[in-house]
Amino acid sequence: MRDADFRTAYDALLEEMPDPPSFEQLRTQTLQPRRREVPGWRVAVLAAVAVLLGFGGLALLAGGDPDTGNSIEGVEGALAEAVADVGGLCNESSTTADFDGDGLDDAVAVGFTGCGTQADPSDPTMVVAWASGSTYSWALDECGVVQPDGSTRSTGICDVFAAPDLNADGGSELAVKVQQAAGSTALLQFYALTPDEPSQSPIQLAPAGPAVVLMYGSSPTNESNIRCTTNSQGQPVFLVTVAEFQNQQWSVFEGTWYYDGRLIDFRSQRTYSVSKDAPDVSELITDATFCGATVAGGQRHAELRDHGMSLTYPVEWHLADVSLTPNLASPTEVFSLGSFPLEPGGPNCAQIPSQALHDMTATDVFVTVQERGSDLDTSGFDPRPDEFGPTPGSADNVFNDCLDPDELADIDAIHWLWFTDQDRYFHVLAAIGASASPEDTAAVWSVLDQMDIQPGS
Amino acid sequence: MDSDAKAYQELRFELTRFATALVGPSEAEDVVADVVVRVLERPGGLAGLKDPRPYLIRAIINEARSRFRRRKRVDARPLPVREEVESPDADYRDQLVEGVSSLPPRQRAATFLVYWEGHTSVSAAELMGCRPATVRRYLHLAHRKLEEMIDERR
Repeated sequence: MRDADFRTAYDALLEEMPDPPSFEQLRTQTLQPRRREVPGWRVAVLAAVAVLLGFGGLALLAGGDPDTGNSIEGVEGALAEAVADVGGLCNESSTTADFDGDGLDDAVAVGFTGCGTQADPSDPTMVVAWASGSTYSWALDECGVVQPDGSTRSTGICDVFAAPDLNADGGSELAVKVQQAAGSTALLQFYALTPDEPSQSPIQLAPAGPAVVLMYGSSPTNESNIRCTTNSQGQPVFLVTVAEFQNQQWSVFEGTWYYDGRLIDFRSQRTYSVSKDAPDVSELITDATFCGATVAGGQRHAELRDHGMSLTYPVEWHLADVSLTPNLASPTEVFSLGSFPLEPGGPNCAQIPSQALHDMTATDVFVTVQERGSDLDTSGFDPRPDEFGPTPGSADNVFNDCLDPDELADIDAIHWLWFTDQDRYFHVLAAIGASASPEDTAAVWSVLDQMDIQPGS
Repeated sequence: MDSDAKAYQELRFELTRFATALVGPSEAEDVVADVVVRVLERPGGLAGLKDPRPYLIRAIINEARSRFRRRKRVDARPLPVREEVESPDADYRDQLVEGVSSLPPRQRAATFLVYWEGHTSVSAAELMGCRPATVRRYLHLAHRKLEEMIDERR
């Protein structure tokens, strides 16, 4: 498949491009009464939260204009089946968004299992139905009523809703609101949900922050919203705005979360008042922009306990959740990372993740680390360098017998490095695409530099 | 001409072209109209946007995503079929059109901006509101999906 094939397809589509609508037509449409279509899931979520919080109508516009959300009946049905599989959920809250960035809606529910079987339901649980049809569930211990000592009692209220793409990985984040005892204060937790992650579990992006007022209202006396914007330093922030009309003026609360490349952490809050004669308060909360465009350097952290190693890598990269060299007995694969989705196996050479190298495009990078047993010959392993980088002498010819030359066309260089650290012995294969960005290329070496290797037993 | 009309006039062909690439010729006009009307209804209108171009590009992507989901839910609509198949080349082109038309909107947006409009992944990312690596990921996924579709037809 060539880039030109896409141009050919778009040329064909554009041959039939219609004339743009005239401005007069559009202006006329703005004068017509329009019925706002509210997706069913949003109605359900809003109603549930409204009942739980004791407020009137709600206007949770997660992501805000211009984002719009619609659910898929199929994925909602899959979610219902998955919830039934865990025995049903009490205090269930659900939402729908494209969490994995594949263009299709996924569905999430949280609640408590054990309904009807215990005096107090327990075991807070999160269930996810992916658009692909697969479903997963986990314990979500953070869910529940937060006690004064910081512990969580799992009998409270936990609501989920879709947040915009805060960490710019292409998918929506999941925000979970943990109710702080009775009243209208709550904690927000953020999770990245992706089916690519090891064990499929959600990645918590934010620690429990301080309790804040967090109520969603849309009524003559309440307006609230969540949005991404930038602060005065130009940093992207996640902003919750709550405006309440009282004493002839709007009382506005703003709580700010900031993505620092590692965590979404609560940073500040402020309250102020707006005169009732000021422009509609909704102006305060509808000028939504998205964080993703300006977030830089997002990182994820992975603990590879089975291998006594941890690593930090760019948030948009893919960490293989299975060995890409399933037929390799020794050495053993510790991890594989790529800027593209990774598939195991391949037709040639057990020691080479040839399927991944086959899938790699010119703009991609890939790195895999294998550990050699110390009972084998360990000569030729240099001490771990202070900084990893391109190594003179590492050559593609190591793989010439394993890969078709055509498959190497997109790859600028394959580096094959050996090193020892903590009395352990490792091979590194780092492949750099011919058009890989300098950032991705540098990140390959940075990942290796930041590997935390535990001593060998 | 008021400021809203002037702002729209400058962008209308680009927006319609982009919408055509994302949702096809039959829906492009509706998509542009829906998006622009929503903005005109906001306080400040089109002229009130700090930078209308990326805002409207993202709004069109989001509207396309909504329609893509609805289409998935209802059923796959028949894709545009060219009436005359004159040669193997024309047949291959139809397969490409069909394949591209089935891609999710953000993959279509990325491939259109990079391959047709000539953006780099950096400038396409600025328009789409994501990171350059995310654009490259969309390109990779689009390549793979289109290749699989064409292979299936062979």
